[in-house]
Amino acid sequence: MLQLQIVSLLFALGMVYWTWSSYRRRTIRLGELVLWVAVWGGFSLAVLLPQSVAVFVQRLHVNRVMDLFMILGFMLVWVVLFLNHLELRRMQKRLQDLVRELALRQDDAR
Amino acid sequence: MTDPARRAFVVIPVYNEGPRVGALLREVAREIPLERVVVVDDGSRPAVDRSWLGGAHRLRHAINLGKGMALRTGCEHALARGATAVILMDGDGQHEPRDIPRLLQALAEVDIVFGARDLGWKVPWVRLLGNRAINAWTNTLFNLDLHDIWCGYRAFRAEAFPVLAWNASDYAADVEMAVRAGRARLRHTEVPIGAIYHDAYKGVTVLDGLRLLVQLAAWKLTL
Repeated sequence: MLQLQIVSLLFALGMVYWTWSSYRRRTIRLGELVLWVAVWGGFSLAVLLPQSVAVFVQRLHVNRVMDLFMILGFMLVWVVLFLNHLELRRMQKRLQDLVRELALRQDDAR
Repeated sequence: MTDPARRAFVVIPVYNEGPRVGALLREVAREIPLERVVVVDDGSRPAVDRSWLGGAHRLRHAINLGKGMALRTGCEHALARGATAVILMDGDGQHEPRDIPRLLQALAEVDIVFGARDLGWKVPWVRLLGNRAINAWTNTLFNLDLHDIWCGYRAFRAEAFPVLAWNASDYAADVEMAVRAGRARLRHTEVPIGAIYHDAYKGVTVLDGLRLLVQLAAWKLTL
C-alpha cells in the first residue's frame, strides 16, 4: 500500500470519528451523520480500490483517479462554503432580530 | 399636509462615545424635549451611563450591530411612541443640534431632508475623494441630485419610514436610505449643515468605501 493511501485512510477514519462524536454531542442530526459517513466511506473505498472508480474516470474523460478526487473535492468544498455562508447569514439575522427585540423592550426612560 | 414637526423625535446611535453623549444631549435639549430623544447604545463598553441622558429614552443593544441597525431600532421605538417625524444624528457630536429647526422647517414641504456638509478640505483628501466618488456613483445610478449622501444628519416624515426601512447594518445604511428614497421618488431636499469634526468618519475605511461601490451596483439590480 502506498504511503499516500495510508495517510488518506487515516484522514478518512479521523473524519468518521469526528462526525460520529459530533452526532453523539447532538451537534449534527442523523441525516447529516449518514451523509458524511457515506462521503468518507466512499472516499476510503476509492483510496483502497482505485480501480472501483475507474469507470467514472473513463466516463468523465478524466486522466487519473487523482484528478477525479481533486475535482470532486473542489466541488464539495464549494458546496460546503455556500451552505456555511447561508447558515451564517441566517444566524446573523436571528441574532440581529433578538438583540433589537430585547433593546426595544428595555427602554429605561425616566 | 400635517406638520411633521408637531411630534418630532431625535434618534442618536451611540457606540463608545463616553460622556460626549451627555454634552450632545444638553445641546439637543435646547431644540427638542429629551422625552422625544432616543439614544441607542449599540453595545458600548462600558455602557452609556443612564445619568448622562436626563429624560431621554435609552435602548441598548447587548452586542454591537452597527449604525444601521441602531438607527432602525431607534426609529421603530420613536414611531411606536407616535413620532410624526424622525431626525437622525450621529452620536459623536459632529452634527450641530441647532440645525434641527432648519431640518424640520424644510421637512414641511417634503418627505425627507438630507443634511449636506461643506466638506471643503477639513477632512483628509482620501475621505474627501471617497465621499465624492460615492456621491457621483449613487447619483448616476439612481438619478439623484444629492451632494453629501454619506451625511447621517437627516429628517424624514413618519409615513416615509416603511419605504426607507433599510437593511444595511453598518454605515451603508445612510446611503441605502437615500437610494430607497430615490427609488420611491420621495420628495426630498438638502439643507446645508454645520459639522464639527472630532474623529470624523469613525469606523469607515477605504475598504468600506470600495465595498459600498459594489453594494450600490447590487442595489441597482435588487431594490
